[in-house]
Amino acid sequence: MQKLTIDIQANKKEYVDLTQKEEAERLGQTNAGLQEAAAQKEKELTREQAIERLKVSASQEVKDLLAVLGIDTTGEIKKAAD
Amino acid sequence: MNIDFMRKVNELDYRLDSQPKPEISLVLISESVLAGAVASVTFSSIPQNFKSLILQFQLRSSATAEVDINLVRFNADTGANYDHISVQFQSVGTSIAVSRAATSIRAGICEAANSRASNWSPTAIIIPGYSKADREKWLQQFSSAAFGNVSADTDLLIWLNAGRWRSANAITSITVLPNTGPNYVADGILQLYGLA
Repeated sequence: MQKLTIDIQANKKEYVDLTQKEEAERLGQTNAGLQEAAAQKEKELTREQAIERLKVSASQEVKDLLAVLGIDTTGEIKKAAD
Repeated sequence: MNIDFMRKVNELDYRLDSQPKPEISLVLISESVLAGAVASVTFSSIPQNFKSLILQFQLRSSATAEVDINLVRFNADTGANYDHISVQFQSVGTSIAVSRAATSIRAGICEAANSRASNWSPTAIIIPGYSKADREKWLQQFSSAAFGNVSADTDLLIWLNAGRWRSANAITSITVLPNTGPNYVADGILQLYGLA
C-alpha cells in the first residue's frame, strides 16, 4: 500500500510504500471504519427487518405491546384499526 | 472645450486611479490526479504567504460500501488533538455528530466501491489563517455524496462540518485519507488553492 506526498516547494510528487507502523495504523483505522459502518447499517434496518429481529428476540411483554400498536411479530403487519 | 473643464476631468481621473481597489486573488498552489490507489494524499511544504487555504477534491474510496468518510490531519499530527461537529442533511431529516479529542477531523463524505462508478461528488474545505502561529486552527467544509445508484431520495446527502486542530502551529502540511478505505482509487482529483 502506498501514500502520495506532494512537495509543493520542490514541485515533486512521490509515491511511497507505507511503513509497517503506518500499515498497522491504517489497518486499525479500516477495521474501526468497517465496524462503524456496520453499526450505522444496524440503525438503518427496514421495518420488515426490525420485525424479523423482534420475532426472534423480543420478550412476550414487548410482543404484546407491539400488537397493541398494530404490529404482529409473527410477521404480518395488521391493518391499523381506524 | 475649455481648459478648466479638461483640468477638472484630469483631476477626477487621477482621484479615481488613486483609490485603493479591492483585490482578491485565488492562486492554484497544486493540483494532483491520482495515478493509482493511495492510502493517503499529503500536500507538504505549503507556502505561508496566503490568507487562507482552499482544498477541493473529488475522491472515491476503495471501501466495500456505498460511501466512506474523508479524514484530514495537519502537520502529520496523529495525536488525539482534533475536534469536529458535522451536520448531515438527507430528505428524511438531519443528523448531527460531534467528536472531541479525535485523531483526525472528519471532513465530509465520498463515494465508495458500491456506488455508481461515475459518481465523484465534491468536497471543499477552507482553512482561514492557516499560517498564523498565534491561534488554533479551524476548517470549514462542505461536501455531498450520492449513495449507490441514486434510486431513492435518501441516496442524496449534504455534509457540513467544522473542525478544529488543537495547535497554534502554522499549517505546513495537510493529509487527506479515507476513514475505511483502505485506499482512494485512481483518477481522484485534488486541488489546493491559496486565497490572497
